[in-house]
Amino acid sequence: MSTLVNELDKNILPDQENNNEKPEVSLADSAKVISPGRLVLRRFFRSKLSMVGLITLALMFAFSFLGPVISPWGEVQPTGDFKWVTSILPHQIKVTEINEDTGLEEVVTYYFSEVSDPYKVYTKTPPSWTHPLGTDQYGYDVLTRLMYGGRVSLTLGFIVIFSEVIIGMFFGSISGYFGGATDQIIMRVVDVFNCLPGLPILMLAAALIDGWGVPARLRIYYLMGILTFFGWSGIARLVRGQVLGIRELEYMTAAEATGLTTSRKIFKHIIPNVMPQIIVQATLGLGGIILSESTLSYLGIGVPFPYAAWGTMISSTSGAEGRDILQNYPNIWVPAGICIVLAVLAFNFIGDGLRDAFDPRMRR
Amino acid sequence: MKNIIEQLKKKREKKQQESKHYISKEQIKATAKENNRIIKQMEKQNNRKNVDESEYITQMRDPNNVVEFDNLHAYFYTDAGVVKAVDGVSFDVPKRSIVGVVGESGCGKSVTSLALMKLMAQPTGQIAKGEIRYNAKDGKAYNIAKVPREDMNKIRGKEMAMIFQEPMTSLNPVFRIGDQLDEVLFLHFPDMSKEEAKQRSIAMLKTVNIAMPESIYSRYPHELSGGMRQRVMIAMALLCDPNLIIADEPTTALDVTIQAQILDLLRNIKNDINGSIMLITHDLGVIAEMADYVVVMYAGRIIEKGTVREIFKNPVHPYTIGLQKSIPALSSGEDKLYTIPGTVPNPINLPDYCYFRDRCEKRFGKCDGAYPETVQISPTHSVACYLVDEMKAEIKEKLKEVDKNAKK
Amino acid sequence: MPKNNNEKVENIVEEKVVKSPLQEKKNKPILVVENLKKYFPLGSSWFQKQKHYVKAVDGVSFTIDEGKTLGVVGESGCGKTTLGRTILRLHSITDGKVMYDDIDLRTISKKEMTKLRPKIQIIFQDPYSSLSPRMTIGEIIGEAVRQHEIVPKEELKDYIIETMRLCGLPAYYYSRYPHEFSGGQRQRISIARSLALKPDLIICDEPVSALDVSIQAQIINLLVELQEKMKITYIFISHDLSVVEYISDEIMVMYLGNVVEHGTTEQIFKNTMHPYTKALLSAVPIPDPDTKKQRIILTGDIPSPANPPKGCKFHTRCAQCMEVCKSVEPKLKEYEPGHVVACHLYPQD
Repeated sequence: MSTLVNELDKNILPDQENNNEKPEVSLADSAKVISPGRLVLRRFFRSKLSMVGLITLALMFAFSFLGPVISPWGEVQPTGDFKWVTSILPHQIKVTEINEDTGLEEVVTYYFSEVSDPYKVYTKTPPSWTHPLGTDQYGYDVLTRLMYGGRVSLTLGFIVIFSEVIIGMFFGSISGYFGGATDQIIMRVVDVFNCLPGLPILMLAAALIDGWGVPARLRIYYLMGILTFFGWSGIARLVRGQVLGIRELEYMTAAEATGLTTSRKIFKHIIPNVMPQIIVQATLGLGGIILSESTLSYLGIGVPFPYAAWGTMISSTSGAEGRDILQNYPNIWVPAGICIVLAVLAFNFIGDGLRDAFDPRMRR
Repeated sequence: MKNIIEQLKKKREKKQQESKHYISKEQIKATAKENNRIIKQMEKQNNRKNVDESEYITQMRDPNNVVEFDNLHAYFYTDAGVVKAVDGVSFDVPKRSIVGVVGESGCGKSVTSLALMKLMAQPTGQIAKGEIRYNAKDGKAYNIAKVPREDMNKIRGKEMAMIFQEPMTSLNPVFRIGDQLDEVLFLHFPDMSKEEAKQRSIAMLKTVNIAMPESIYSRYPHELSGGMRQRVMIAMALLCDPNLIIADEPTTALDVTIQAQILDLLRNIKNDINGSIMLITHDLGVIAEMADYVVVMYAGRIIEKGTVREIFKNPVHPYTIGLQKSIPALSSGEDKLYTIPGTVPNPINLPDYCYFRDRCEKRFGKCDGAYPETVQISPTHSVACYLVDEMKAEIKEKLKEVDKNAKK
Repeated sequence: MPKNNNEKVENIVEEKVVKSPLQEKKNKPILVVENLKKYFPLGSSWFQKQKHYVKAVDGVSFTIDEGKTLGVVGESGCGKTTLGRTILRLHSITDGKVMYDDIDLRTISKKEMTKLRPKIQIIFQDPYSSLSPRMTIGEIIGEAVRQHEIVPKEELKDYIIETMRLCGLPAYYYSRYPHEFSGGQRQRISIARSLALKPDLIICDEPVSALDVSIQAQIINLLVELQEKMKITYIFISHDLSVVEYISDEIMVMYLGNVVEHGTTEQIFKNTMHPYTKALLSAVPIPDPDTKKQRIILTGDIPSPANPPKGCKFHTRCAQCMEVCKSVEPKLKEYEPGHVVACHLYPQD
């Protein structure tokens, strides 16, 4: 039978030739595919943790940037309970008089008290309907200050990380792409930056700014500069590592072989391919920056009083009335702490989610 | 202002035009939802513990087979749709034989073997339908498709072992060769002493023709060449004296000279272990040299199967014929290589007619009908193609003519 | 597709044939490689004064005429890939000459080399890593075309689509990303990227090794077709002898950085001389269950190129090894016109 079949198929062949029209779209393209961007989004949104992070962050942004618009109180507007207080100022006057008995001149001290004009003294108030989180010792509304503090932390975080990424990417890609002496120099500088103990250096720098007498409003910009200056090295190192890997891939060799210019190779071939890792790193880094900013503010060298920052709000536990606030008024400092924890956690969740989403091995 | 709006409109239209071949968000959501439901259900089945054996013990259709694939459907539930990687595959692996599975990448040949080992990428990859009957050493027949994950570990390794394509990545780089071999032994024979394990591992290295087994035993994987590593992988597969070795493209990553060595070794081993080998490859040359039976797969289905001589000497399906013709034969002096035009259809959206129709040069009217049934040509040879019917009709006609002539 | 596009490319092809100076001086080879060497330094430490080298390519010479194909065969680690990349000056040249069109590629400056790049192109083995994943097909193909100003800016898109058509890619792939394609399609994209630069010479580094048989045949046919149309010269590097035999005019067999046999395809296959070539030939599996041929199975692996054996580098695996092979390195000698072999089995003087 089988030999017969072989003979037969030769006979059947010619009839089918006129049937050879090609279909419009080949069967290989018959099904739609998922676009690369959507693929990443799908994987990101699939992770519950990163969704929690994203929602938390969105709420936080709304709270910080829309909140102050709604809030009836201002950042440095004393509104809490107050009492009129008059203080008694003791005085003493020394007068030279002639003693009537002795006829000699002698110095006589007169004691008297002066009653000052009545003035307002604000008191810490517990949470109430008008002040949901109460007021602090200066009568400022804690909730409103929390919102303004969020503004500082979030904008500062984003600006710092953005500048860090720009600087880090620049040095990292140069270092990785050119290698040799350039690489050596840049990486040794990075090493030096990595050796510096972070907090002491930041404190020193902040103290220096204090010394220069920088106006309070501008200090936040100096703070950004300092955080960027000491933070870019991590990104540079990451980018360099990635570039070293990508440089060995065949599409880079192909780019070299087609004679593309160096800048094109870096900007069109390398940077887009390290972008995912950078985005992940930047998101994770945001949490760290918020922490640093808070720490500095707590230590009193970050955002200065009377402007609000989460760190400054917590530092109210260390002032003159610190003990009292720490023990009896958690409404003043606990919310700020919670805000810091939430923001850092949210950024970490999102960073992790992004990392998984960008990872091609997580394909589904 | 108007201009700007018009420009924006144009841009949007262009974007829509370009993204036409991408799936919309809504579609993805719908498929994902459906998939999640199915996957959840199947995973529940898979993750059960302490399942009674009777649930997955079956009867072999023929006790002389090691494995029987019966209408196996292995799907991947992805967001883009269900990838029907294996879609109704039935074939047997007889005892003491080499069965070659050939096909282009994406035809489902690897997935078939992974389904047999229950190693499909979890949780998206699932056996949707069908049975895989496995004839174990103890005489029981397991239906692998129903064995829960927990019990599968007993079968894997001890009963069947797998050799992968990449010898560079299938060994753990931080452990010595010996440790990795011993570990397999300890896993399956917990009472084995360290000395015994070492003896056995070294003996196994000798079996796979490694010149200095003692020194290789204490080396790290990176110190070995690709061919050596593949030998070590084979030794590892042999350690527990498996019934069946699945070799997934075992020589694709190797040089021709090394490939010849490894193939030689595999052939000898088959005789030594008295077991079967399921050889998966895209290289017809390797299949012709090694296999006793050949299964040709295309887009998740078997289009032709038979003994090696039937497939190579008397291929019927146009795809099988095309595959063989497109190999540049040594010293053939052809002018132009024969090619099968086009590419494999997308496994997500398979047509309702023969999957090969659009690439087939022998297609005719009947091919527009449903997917062709599998037809037995000889006891071992079967084909899924309408040409066979046509041939049969012709044979009948010829017979009639013969009859007529005889009558005259 | 508008019709005038088709004409445009035909014109390009015509122009090229007329313009190319090589067409006139017919017998002038397009590429002359003389005694090419590429050594990679091996961990030079401070204590070790004498540097060790991996001699990846150790004195290779050949010439190719225009429109011909030179096949380079050998096992992995024999230096065939390094040879291809050194000719392109993707690796610096340690020693020797690479003359392209009377220009010595070793001596020209980087800038001049960049200008020359479009003329010599390369196609890689791995279709998955050779395309940047974040660029569309149109960008990938058009990028270098735009930089080298091969066509005017207005015609760029048409030109790219035309090139894609030549390579069997439909125009609607223009704005898609590489990850959507199979290996064969990606290899076509790679070929289109090279082809768009109108090269004279393409180095094909195992372009079909990673592909399926049926796709392999398509790609090989495409390469042959393009060669006929555009008079492109190929250096075809592969470990697959059947493919090399099919596509090449001449074949060069390499072992550990040296050429062991070099001749026309017919000479290599009909009158195989070197034992290594014989072993390579016999190792190719034949898709016919009835031909059980006598195999020469080489024992062992290819030695490390960092520490090659003395004498004939092949003597450790050679079945016909003699005493002299272990100490004296055989010289390349011509035994019939165009057929050179380096082996002690044949008279050396």
